[in-house]
Amino acid sequence: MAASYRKLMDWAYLVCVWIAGVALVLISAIIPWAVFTRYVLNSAASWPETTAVLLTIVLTFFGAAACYRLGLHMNVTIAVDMLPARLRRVADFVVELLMAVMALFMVVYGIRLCQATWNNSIAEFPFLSVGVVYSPIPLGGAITLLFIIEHLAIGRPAAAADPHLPPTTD
Amino acid sequence: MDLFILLGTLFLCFGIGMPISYSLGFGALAGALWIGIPAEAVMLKISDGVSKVAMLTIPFFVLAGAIMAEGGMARRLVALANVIVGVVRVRGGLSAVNILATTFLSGISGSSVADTSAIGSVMIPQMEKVGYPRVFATNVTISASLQAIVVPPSHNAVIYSLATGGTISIISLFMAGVVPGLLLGVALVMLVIFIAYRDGHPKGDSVPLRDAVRITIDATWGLITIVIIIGGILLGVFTAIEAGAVACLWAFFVTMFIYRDYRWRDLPGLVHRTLKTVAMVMTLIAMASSFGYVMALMQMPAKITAFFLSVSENKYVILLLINFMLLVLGCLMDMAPLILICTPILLPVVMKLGVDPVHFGMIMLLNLGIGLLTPPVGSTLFVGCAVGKVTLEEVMKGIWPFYGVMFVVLMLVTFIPALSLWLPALVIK
Repeated sequence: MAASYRKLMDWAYLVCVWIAGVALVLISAIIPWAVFTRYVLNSAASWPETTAVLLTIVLTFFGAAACYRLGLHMNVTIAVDMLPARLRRVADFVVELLMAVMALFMVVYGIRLCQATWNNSIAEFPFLSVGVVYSPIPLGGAITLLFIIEHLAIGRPAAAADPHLPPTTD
Repeated sequence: MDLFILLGTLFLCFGIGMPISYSLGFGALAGALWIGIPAEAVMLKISDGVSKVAMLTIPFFVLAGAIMAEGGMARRLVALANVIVGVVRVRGGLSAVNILATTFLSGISGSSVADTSAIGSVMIPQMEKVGYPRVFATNVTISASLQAIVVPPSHNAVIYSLATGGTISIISLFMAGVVPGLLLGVALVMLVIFIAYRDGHPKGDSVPLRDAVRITIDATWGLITIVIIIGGILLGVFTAIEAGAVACLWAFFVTMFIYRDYRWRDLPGLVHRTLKTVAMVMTLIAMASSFGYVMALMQMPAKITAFFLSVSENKYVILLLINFMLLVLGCLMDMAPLILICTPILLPVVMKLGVDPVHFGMIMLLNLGIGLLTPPVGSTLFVGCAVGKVTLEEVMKGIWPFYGVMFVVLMLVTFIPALSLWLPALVIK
C-alpha cells in the first residue's frame, strides 16, 4: 500500500514538473515571439503577454506543489535545529498540519475563486473563462495535500543526489 | 492586538520551520479572519500576486542566468579577467582576476550563489596551484560574489522592484547598482592586493597578445547578454520583460551553438532546476502579497513609521538603525523573503524622511547581500565552503577583513546617495 502510494506520488510529482516545465518553456518562447512580431512583422499583439501571465499561474502553483514534496521551499531552521530530536519531530508534524490547512484553503477558496470568475472572460481570449485560468490554485493545493499525506503516512521521499546548486535567487 | 495576531502567527510558523511562503499565507489568513476580512479576499490577493505582467521578469532573468552560469561562461570570463589583470602584473594578481571575473559574471548571472559556484570551481583550484591558501581563495570568491546582488541584472533587484508594487522601475534599480557594485569590486581588489603584499602572494602573469585577442572574442559572445539587457531597455528597444526574454534566447543560442557547452539532453535538467527556483520565488511573492495586504489593512506601515520617528527624526540615525536591524535579520533569514516582508514596512519610513526609494533599494540589497555571507543562514557562504572544500570555521577565521570592506562600502552607499542615484539620473530620461 505504502509502496503504491509512493509510486503514485512519484507520478504526481512528474506531472507537476512536466506541466510547470512546459509552461516555463512556452513563456520563454512567447515573449521573444512578441518582440519578433513587433519589430519584424510590424504588428504588436497583446496576446503574448497575457498568455505568458496565464502560464505563470500554471508554473507557480504546480511548481510550488512539486517543490513542497522535495522540501525545497525556504524555511527558517535555526529554532528547530536547536530542539531535541523528539521535539523536532513534533514541530515537523505541526508544520505538516498547518500546511494541510493552507492546502485546504487553496482548494476550497481556490474553487470559490474559480466559481466566482467562471462567467468572466479574458479580453484577448473571449473563449477562455477566468475561472479556468485560476484553476491551478485549487489543483496545486490538492496535489500539495496528497504530498502532505505522503509525508505524514510514509515519510518524505529519499532525496536523489544532485550535484547542482539548490534553487535560489540569492 | 491585531499586529500581535498577524506577527505572532507568522513568527510561530517561522519558528517551527514551516516554509516561509506558506507561513506568510497562513499569517495573512489568521490576521484577516481576526479583523473580520473574508478569506476570499486573501485568496484574491494570492492570485493577484502572480497575475501581474511585471512578474514575468523573474523566470526570464533566472533562466538566462542559469544558462550562462551553468555553462562554461565562468571559465571564459576568468580568462578575460586574466588578460586584463595580466597587463599590470601586480602581486596578488589571481585574487584580482577572481574579483574581476566575478564582476563580469555578475553582469550576466544576477545571483551571488551562482557566481560563487561557477567562479569558485574555476578559480579556487587555480589559485591554490600557484600558492594561495585555499581558505583565502574561498574568501575572495564568496566576497566578490556580493557584486552580483547589486549590479544588473540582480535577481534581488527585480524582487525589490516587485516588492515596491512596481512603483520603482527595474531599470532604475539596475542602473543604481552599477556604481556601488564597482565600488565594492575596487575596494575588494585593494584589500586583496594589500594582503598579497603582506603575505607574499605570487605576481600575476601577462597573456600573449594573440591569446588575448582570441580570449576576448570568445568571452564577448557571452558579455553581449549585458548589452542586450541594459542597452535594450535604456534605448527603449525592449521592456525589462522582453530584455529578459531576449537575453534568455541569446544565452541559449551562445551556449548551445557557439560555446557548445550543452547537449540537447542536458536541457530538460536545466529547465527542471530553473522551474524549481522560479516556482519557489513566485509562491513567496504570491503569499507575501496577501500578507502585505492584511498588514496594510492593519495600518502596520504607518504604525512602524510612527515608531521609528519617535526614536529619531534624523534620517541618518534611522538609516543606521535600519541597517543594523537588516544586518541582524540577514544573518537569520534568506534574502528574497526579507525583501518582500521588509520593503512594504520600511519604505514608508524612509520615504517620510526624504530617502529616495531607489537609494533605499541599494542599501537594502547590499545589506541583505552581506547576510548571505554570514552564518547561521548564508547561502553563498555555504556554497562557497562546499566549492572550496573548506570548513565553515576555517572560512570564518579569515573573512573578517572582507566583512570590514563590505561594511565600509555599505556605509558609503548609505550616506552618499549620489553613489546610487547619479547614474540612473544620467542615463534614464
